[in-house]
Amino acid sequence: MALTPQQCEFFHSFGYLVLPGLLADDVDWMIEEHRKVFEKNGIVHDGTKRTYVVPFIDQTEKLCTLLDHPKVLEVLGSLLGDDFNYVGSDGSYYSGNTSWHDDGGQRPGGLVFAKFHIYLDTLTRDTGCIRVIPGSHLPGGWRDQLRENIWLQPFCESIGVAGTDIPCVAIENEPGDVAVLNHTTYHASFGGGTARRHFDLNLSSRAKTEEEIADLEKFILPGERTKEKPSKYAPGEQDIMLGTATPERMRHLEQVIERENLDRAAWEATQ
Amino acid sequence: MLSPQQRNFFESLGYLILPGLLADDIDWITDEHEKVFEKKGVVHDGSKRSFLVPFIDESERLCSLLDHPNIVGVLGSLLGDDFNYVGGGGNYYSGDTNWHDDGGHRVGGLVFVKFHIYLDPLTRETGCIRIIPGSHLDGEWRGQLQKIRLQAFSEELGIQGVDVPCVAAETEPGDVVVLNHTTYHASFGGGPARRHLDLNASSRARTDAEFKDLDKFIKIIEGFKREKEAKGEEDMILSTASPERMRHLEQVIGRELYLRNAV
Repeated sequence: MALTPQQCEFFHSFGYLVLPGLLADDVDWMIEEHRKVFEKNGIVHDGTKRTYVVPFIDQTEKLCTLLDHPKVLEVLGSLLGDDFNYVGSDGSYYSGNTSWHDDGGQRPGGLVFAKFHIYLDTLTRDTGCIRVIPGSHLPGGWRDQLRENIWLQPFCESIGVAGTDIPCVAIENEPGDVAVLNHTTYHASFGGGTARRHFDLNLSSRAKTEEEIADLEKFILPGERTKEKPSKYAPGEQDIMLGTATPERMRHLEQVIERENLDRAAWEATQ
Repeated sequence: MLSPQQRNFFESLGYLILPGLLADDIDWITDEHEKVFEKKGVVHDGSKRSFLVPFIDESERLCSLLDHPNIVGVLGSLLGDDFNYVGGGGNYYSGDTNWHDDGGHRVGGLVFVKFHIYLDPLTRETGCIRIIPGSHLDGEWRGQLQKIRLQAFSEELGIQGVDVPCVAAETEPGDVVVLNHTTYHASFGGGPARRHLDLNASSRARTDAEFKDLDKFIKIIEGFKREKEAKGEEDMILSTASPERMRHLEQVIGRELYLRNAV
């Protein structure tokens, strides 16, 4: 189902959107695939700290189909436009607290990036659900204050409250619930257990202006290419996503591939 | 005195909750609240909000709130020791109060606050004040929230006022909540006779722009003062003022005279 105009406006105003049960019918196979990816990568999570795999859904053919899933497409199409870009993903076993942060810094060109969070465990305010600060994605005094007081100063020492007491919305969730956050929305989690399963998709709207393309390239391109690592991705990492892509899925990959190829060609010309 | 952290909290988030700040005074404040409504002949029947402006000015005892060390300490910390008292109200609230700010008068950057004193226990579901953190700060967040004021919020966002993400400042009698005038707030689900009073205060105006702010606010409250004058009622807050209290009245008195002479 496409989102309502009110849901889109909520996302743009508050910087997040909660979609209870959006992927409830898919949660069993997603949990199984999540387990398989970690196994495939030889990662054993022992609970002492977060373990993660990047890129994530790209690692199995089944998870790649999330980019073909009607509900995922309709939500992201509503928020970012039907020609949105898929720009990567990660999968995690979270352990312990995650301090307040955003995923975006400032986007000088104004391109909108979103993270589509899929939770595989039941989480509450006090057991590690994601907490968000409404409106923190918008430029201005509020965001500036948050940057100063909860990001740059650990434990919020300047305002005398612990991170866990920062006024926020706690998005309690059941497996299969989805939360979509603007990359610039501040978020955190506190009090969680040692093996909270989660993965996400990162997306952006289609870059159309030079400034937006600069934003996109900043996100997708490797910081520096070398002969040993000429690409952001290890050999073969993107093969499943591309190799199994339908024309419809390609729509969400093509701009990133195009920018990656242009940049790589420019680098190769200098070698 | 507030700590630097409390001051930073107020400046960053637009509000500050001070549990029990006036707990030792709550009995007499509650008694005076009742007396003022009685004196003014206002009988609250619960069908809608009843209010009186100005309020503490109506009782010598309530006027002494402006001399109270806890109040002077808090307002002095937030606004400077030479803050201005700029009026206030007393209420029996009934039902919901939709999202709004109190800061339509602000044009020049002068900081105004409202010092809320609650006389009944209030929870999220029974009418405590709800606050949108950061809504006092200029920028796109505040810009988005203007929709609330235009009453278009629930229509555009598909949620009711009661579901707007916010902080619910649950209170016991004697608790105090201080809000920047430009912070959005509301209350939902409350009973028909919630007792409350408040003091408005501002920092001392020093620049032309700040004087414009102060003058604009003075014009808003001037009608209530003229009404009292017309009735020949004593200006108790002035007639019982100590030199220290005068410090918080003198700039407003001066501007009132200036504005009347200018007219």
